[in-house]
Amino acid sequence: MAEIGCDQFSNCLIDFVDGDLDQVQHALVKDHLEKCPLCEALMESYVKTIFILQKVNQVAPPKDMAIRLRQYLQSKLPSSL
Amino acid sequence: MSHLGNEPKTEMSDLSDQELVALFHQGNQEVIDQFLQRYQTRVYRLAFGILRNPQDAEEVIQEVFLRIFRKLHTFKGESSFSSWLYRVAINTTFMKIREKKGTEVMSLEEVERLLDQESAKAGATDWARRPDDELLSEEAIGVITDAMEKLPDEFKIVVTLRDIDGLSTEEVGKLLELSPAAVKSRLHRARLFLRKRLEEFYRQLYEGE
Repeated sequence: MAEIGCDQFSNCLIDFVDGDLDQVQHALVKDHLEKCPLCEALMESYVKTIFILQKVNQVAPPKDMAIRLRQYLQSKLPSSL
Repeated sequence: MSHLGNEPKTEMSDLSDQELVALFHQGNQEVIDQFLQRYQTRVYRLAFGILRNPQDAEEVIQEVFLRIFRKLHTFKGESSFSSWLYRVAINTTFMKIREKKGTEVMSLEEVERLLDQESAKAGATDWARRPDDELLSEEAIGVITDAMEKLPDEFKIVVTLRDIDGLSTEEVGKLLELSPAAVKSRLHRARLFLRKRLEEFYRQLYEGE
């Protein structure tokens, strides 16, 4: 079975994490990760970064934003609202 | 809008965007409420993701929906309503950025140099194996928020649309008129940049343990 190195792994990290690799490429990356703790650590921290990023940005709009938005639109689009 | 609460909302909420637009073209103004319910939070998060300021983000969504509803009668459905809305939201957000002077962002070259220094190797990344609730501290959130603010807008918008709003690479490419490869390249670099900032933070935090 062919193998990939760290550089190749680095180039396809995003596709691996986003699930865009075909079955053969996916297997090659998995094989490399089993042999290379540094790339495995990179992959894990990359995934965790995406996870934290998603949590950070689950911001709720300000409490009365919806009301203010409607009032604003009402003042600008009186015939519509 | 004045009818909010008296209408059978389940019926309206079952309709597709396209059907709502058709109703609007027939003179039904109540669809406006439905569109607001559907999209106001998403547009807010998109604007906030780029601007990182609640007041600016709120001003953007007001402008976005005003434009949308003023133009809705001319909307022909050549693209989906949501794509059109996103495009207007992106353009309005960038207009807001241009209005604001003196915002400190890194140039593309600076980001690329930082990423080159980073190398593909992970370094001390044991932090990633710690429990999620331990990682999600207010300080960590502050670190990644600050790092997002430093990213150039070209990177920030891609991260926001792809990782936060959950659009596909292809959808992001269409909205920003970029190839899928260009979207991936920017997304990857931005993620690496943010990862590096987090790594520095956690390394200090867990030093000596």
